[in-house]
Amino acid sequence: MIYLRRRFSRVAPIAMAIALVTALLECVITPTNTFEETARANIAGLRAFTVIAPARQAEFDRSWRERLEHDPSIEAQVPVRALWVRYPMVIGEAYCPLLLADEMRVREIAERAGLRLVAGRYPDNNHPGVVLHQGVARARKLAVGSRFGTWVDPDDTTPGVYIVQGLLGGDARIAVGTTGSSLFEAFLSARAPGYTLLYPRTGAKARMDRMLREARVGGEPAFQVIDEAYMNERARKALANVPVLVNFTALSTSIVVALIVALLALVAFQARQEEFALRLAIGQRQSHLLLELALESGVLALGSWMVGIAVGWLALYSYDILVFEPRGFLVRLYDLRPLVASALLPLVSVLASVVALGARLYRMDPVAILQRHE
Amino acid sequence: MSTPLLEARDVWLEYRDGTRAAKALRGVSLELAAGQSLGIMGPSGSGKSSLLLVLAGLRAPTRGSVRLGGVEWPSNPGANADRRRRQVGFVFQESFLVPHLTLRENARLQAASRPAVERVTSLAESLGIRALLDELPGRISAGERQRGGILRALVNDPLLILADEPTSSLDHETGLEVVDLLWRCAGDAALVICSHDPSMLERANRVLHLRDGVLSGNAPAES
Repeated sequence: MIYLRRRFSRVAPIAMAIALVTALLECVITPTNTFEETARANIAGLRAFTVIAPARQAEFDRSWRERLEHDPSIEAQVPVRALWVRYPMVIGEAYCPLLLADEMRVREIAERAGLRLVAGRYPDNNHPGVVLHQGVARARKLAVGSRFGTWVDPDDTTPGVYIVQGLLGGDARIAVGTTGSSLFEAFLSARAPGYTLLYPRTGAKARMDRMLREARVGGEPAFQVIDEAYMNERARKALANVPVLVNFTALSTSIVVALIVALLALVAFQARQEEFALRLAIGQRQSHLLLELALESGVLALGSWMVGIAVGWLALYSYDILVFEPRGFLVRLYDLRPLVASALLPLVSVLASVVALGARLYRMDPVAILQRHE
Repeated sequence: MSTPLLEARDVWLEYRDGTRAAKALRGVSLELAAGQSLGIMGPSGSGKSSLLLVLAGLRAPTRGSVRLGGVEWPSNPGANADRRRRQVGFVFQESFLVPHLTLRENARLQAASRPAVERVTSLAESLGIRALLDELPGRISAGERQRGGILRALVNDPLLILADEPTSSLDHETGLEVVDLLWRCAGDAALVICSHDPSMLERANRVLHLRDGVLSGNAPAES
């Protein structure tokens, strides 16, 4: 340890290599959580309500409607038309749900989902349009008064045209709007599937979702149920291969860096060759010296790794403010995955260094080295 | 002569370089009792350093044996590390102090027990370097560094002290001071000093001459 304190400049290249590559790994791995975070945000509205449609009928028949009305776990039923608003991600695109309902319901749906109006106004029949999550608006470069939809841009995926009347803030990324004029409603009914939003009574969401899943007609599910669990499972399957990429990146980087660190450790060892020759000559054991080297390598690698994590986090924090947020990219800065993945780096580096230094130490002829010096 | 502490019997040492072999020692035998000192003189390349390495157990003789305290050094120098650390103090031509350690830390490298660690300060006092114990070797003079080397060699109160040309990098006056310190601090240890300067060996009980690996002469040194 004394060597690290008094001759740090000799091992600084090792510390730099580990710290910089750790920071690099953190900066590469952390933003991949944007896929999970975006999926989570797009799903978050479903914590407040569940979306259903009849599984085998065009519309609910009277008996089902009555059964739902009398179910003790359900507070209200809200008919909606559901579409998607496409927006760019770091790689590829995401879709946030656009729920179109009666003007009286727009604010209620947004507030149920835990959102608040941060700019503009809620749409009504005099001001038809949508309120959109501000993150989605930033990603789409939309502002209050902007218009989007296939009538504005044929490449868009949302049929029709929608004026952004307001922006929403909060966790859930959804858009809520009015169905507009009867002419537009007719257009929507042809292109936007009809769903029913079910508001649960307080504390009854799980019971309501279970009832909906267990409901049967002729032994088959009665409803298409789009709830939080269903969407989470879909997201989990869609993102199942992200760890493959992360793990491969971490492993291959760790191995390459470990070899570089081992070479740098050998160079540093060369500078201390006489010290070790002397210590062997005066009767210190090889195993004692190797343990000391292993401890030094371990402390150096761990310290450098921690510095790398801090540097990487600061870089990510700055990049989040300057680049990710203005583009509406959701990135979770407090992510354990880069820590776990980059933890391989100091471990493999110490292992490679100890093996390389051990081989050198056990082959060393201390007398020859001391005599060469004399 | 009393019971020998150090005993070398018909020691041969051969260095091999591929198919070529060079004999550094040819049938060297010597005995030394505790508290006695032996000076070894010889020109450069005569085998003085090789002899000390064999006596210290750092090189295994090609033939013959070396016993310290009645126990023979094993043929693998790595196997006797603990014993060498406790029983042998080696003063090198150069001080060979670890540059990033203070004199105190350098001395502790060899200290094999708590009493040895505690002895560092009092021993440094006798060597006149107590005030320098917390200095790094790069900040003190060559003579002071060599005293630091002696401090390290003596810290365990060893049975045998070996000094290989300990004054070669010092001026004559400082060299004499250093050798004088060695003699004063050696106590009951057996002391072997190699030098090409006869004045450094004046106080030795005996002085032997080494030439081409052959030891000759067995008389007390003339004062």
